[in-house]
Amino acid sequence: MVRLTRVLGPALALLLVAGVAALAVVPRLGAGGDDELVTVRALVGSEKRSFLTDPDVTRALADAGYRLTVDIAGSRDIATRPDLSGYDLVFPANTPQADRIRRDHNLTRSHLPFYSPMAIATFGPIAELLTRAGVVRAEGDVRFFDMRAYLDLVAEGRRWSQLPGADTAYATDRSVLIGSTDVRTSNSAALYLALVSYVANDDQVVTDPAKADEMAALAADLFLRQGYLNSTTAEPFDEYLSIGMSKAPLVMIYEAQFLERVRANDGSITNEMLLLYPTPTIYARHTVVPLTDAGDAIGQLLTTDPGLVRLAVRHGFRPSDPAAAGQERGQSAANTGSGPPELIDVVEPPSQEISERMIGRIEERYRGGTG
Amino acid sequence: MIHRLNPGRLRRSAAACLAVLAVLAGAGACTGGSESPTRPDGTGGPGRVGGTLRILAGSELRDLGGILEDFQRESGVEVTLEYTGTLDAVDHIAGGRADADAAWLASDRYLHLALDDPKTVVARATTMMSPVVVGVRPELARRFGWVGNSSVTWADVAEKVAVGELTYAMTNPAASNSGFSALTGIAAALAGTADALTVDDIRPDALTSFFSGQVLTAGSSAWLTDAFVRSTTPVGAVINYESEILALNADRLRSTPLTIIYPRDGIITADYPLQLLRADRRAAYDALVSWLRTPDVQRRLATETHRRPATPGVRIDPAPWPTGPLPAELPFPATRAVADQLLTAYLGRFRRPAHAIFVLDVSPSMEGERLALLRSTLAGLAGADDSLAGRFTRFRERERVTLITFSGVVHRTQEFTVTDPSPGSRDLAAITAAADGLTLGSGTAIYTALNAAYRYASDAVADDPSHLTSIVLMTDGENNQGETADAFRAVYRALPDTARAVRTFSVVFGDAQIDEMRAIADETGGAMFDARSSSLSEAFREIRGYQ
Repeated sequence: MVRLTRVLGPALALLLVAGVAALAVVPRLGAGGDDELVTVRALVGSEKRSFLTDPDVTRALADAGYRLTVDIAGSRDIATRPDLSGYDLVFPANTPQADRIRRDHNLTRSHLPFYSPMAIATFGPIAELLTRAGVVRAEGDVRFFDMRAYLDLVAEGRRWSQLPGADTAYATDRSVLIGSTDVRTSNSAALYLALVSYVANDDQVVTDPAKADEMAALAADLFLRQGYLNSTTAEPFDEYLSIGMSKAPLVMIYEAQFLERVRANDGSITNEMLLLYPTPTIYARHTVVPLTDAGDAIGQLLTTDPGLVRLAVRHGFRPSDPAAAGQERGQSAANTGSGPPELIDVVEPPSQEISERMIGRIEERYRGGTG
Repeated sequence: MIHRLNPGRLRRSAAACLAVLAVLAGAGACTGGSESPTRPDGTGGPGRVGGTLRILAGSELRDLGGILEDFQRESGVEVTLEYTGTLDAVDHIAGGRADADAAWLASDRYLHLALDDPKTVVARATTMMSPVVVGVRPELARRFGWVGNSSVTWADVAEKVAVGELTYAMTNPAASNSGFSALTGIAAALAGTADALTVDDIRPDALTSFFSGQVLTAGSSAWLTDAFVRSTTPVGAVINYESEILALNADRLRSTPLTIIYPRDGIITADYPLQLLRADRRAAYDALVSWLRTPDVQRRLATETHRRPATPGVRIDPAPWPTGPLPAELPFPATRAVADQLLTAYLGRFRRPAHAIFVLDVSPSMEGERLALLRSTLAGLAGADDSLAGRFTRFRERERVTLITFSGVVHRTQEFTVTDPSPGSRDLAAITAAADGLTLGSGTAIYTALNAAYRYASDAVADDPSHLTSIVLMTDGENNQGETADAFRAVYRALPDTARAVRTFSVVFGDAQIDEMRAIADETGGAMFDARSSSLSEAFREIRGYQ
């Protein structure tokens, strides 16, 4: 079986060379210096920090006449902030949050420059254990993680040490649990909750409050039993990379986080590391909500400027613009015959109100204190 | 507790380190450094950021001085570290009273459980890693069949403790992160689930048995290491950061290196997060974080401090640690209620109870404010201090407290036993009343009092060896009466081993002679604390970590 990591390496190397060359030959338009740039203030989710502060992105925006200053906040926090004055745009990680912001602040415009599916970072030995346990299955180069089979294992209270083959691969008495962030602060955990609630609700998006309470009660253990959780998505992935299997056998992440590392080719992704796609999965549709015309222009640029789209791909995102996506896929395919896989089994998140309600219920369990 | 970086101060003995810390205590006096504005655009030259970054730091980070000096030189950012205990740091940060731009602790998990407003911490980045593991004397490891054996569990360690074949040193979980990590890890492992601990999972009997083997405690990991090596009564193992044990094996125990056990059922790793507390210090903070996380600096940290890299993809070759896979990481409790309950139960039930012998100077110079401070300090330990640090340094259930007062002669010896540790209880009220009743005499006979204290301690440990007994000597003047230092040393050295194992923690107050007090601490394997520049109550609270 060919690993995604190996396939993507050379493809991206080529893509990067192309990107760098393009930047080198394009003449600087805003040649007069920083003072002529329009400063745009953005409030964005932490998962886009490395992209938006990439010096190449800064340069591409400067060429278009803009300087972006970025404040970081959790997407849930962005969605519920009453005062967004001083910002030209907000950039939460998903559409329900963007919808809520538009409604609360009477805004109409939005841009969807790129998206990223939820994925699970793991290690070869763990993937094999879970394959034998019927949770992971391979289709060609891509491995899928069956959410329903997983929730069944969790409901049985299964520990790693009880899985066939665990004694040599991963003999810990810890329960089989996907590692996540704190659902009270982090969007990736909220999307994990959305996935779980969909599967547990007989493959339907939760729409009514009573059902939300029921699903939250079921899902709370998935978080509480993990113990202390990090509050931003970067942290558990960092632990996955630096501590490894002992700390983080399975981590719920954005696909972009993994691909960004693969594409950076910085040695952080080892041969043992691989990506699983949950079935179903869910997209984080990163959405720019402009508050001013300058913010709107940035949203437009991020969505349509070929250089910026390429840079977003370098950071692991999938472009939303069909033309850009087609081009990107074509390029990957031409080089390797394989890019990030096309996913079919994708579900929608519940509304922001339902999501907030489920998170609120889980919050109560934390406040109960004994967990 | 501000400590300006100065390579000359690094790598002193633990006692001297504490002294430096204490001498420099009293933050206000030292904070007047340069406050040049930060230049995020780096106009000071390539990589120059400038400005200052004042960091509230765990005492574990004392070994970074030389490395941070280089950062200072390259970036122009003036870094100051103010060392503090974990709970004091949590108190200050959670209360919004931290007079610092950033915090740098071995772990921030408890801090985050305690924060009402998560936005208090603006940004966070891990900087290095070290798991909490068990270092076992090689002869014991061989006898137990633990050499090269990767299947040893916490339960195996607990069993050797239960049959009396193993004793160990571990820091006080209320004072130091390595002890707190060990406590939460062991509680989870002995609960048998290895999942996040709930209140129902806590196994009091198993934990009490396990902690009966803890014969040496401390308020800091570095001091613990030092005391473990120097201990007059041999201690079989030390539970501490891997980095501390590797450093020992590379240096002082090179000929008899400890066998490092990574318990198969799980470990807890410290990840040294650097946390930004003030958004307007972002430029200096970002500069330090990205500098620390460069592969070269990560390699240097590995070589100089034996801590593992936090930056993904950095490989150390040859690595100073075993390169095989580590056992699974044990989860930290999900809620503060569980963490606090565990800590309280450790102090009140699981650990060996303490017998704290306070030898208190009531010479005429103590009259007025000093005596008032001493009274309020004792009252604080007896329950009046309701700060977070105060709550976890109070006199505990089962604890014995002895107050010996002296001036030119020994005045009184008052004994108390705490059976009810709730604030305002009859037991604690009796200690507060005794503190209120302190009266002054004339003259200062430090060594006469100390000899009396050791005679008393000698009988106490013979009568009841189950308590961990220590002496706190507080004086505000120099010896001018009674026995001499030499006479004390002769008496001390003639004591039986069990009595000589009683350490003296000396508190320098008022016009006390720092050399005299340090010599007493060194002779008895204790440590010296300077209350002149911090406060008497802070010094006493810190010492509680060592009792």
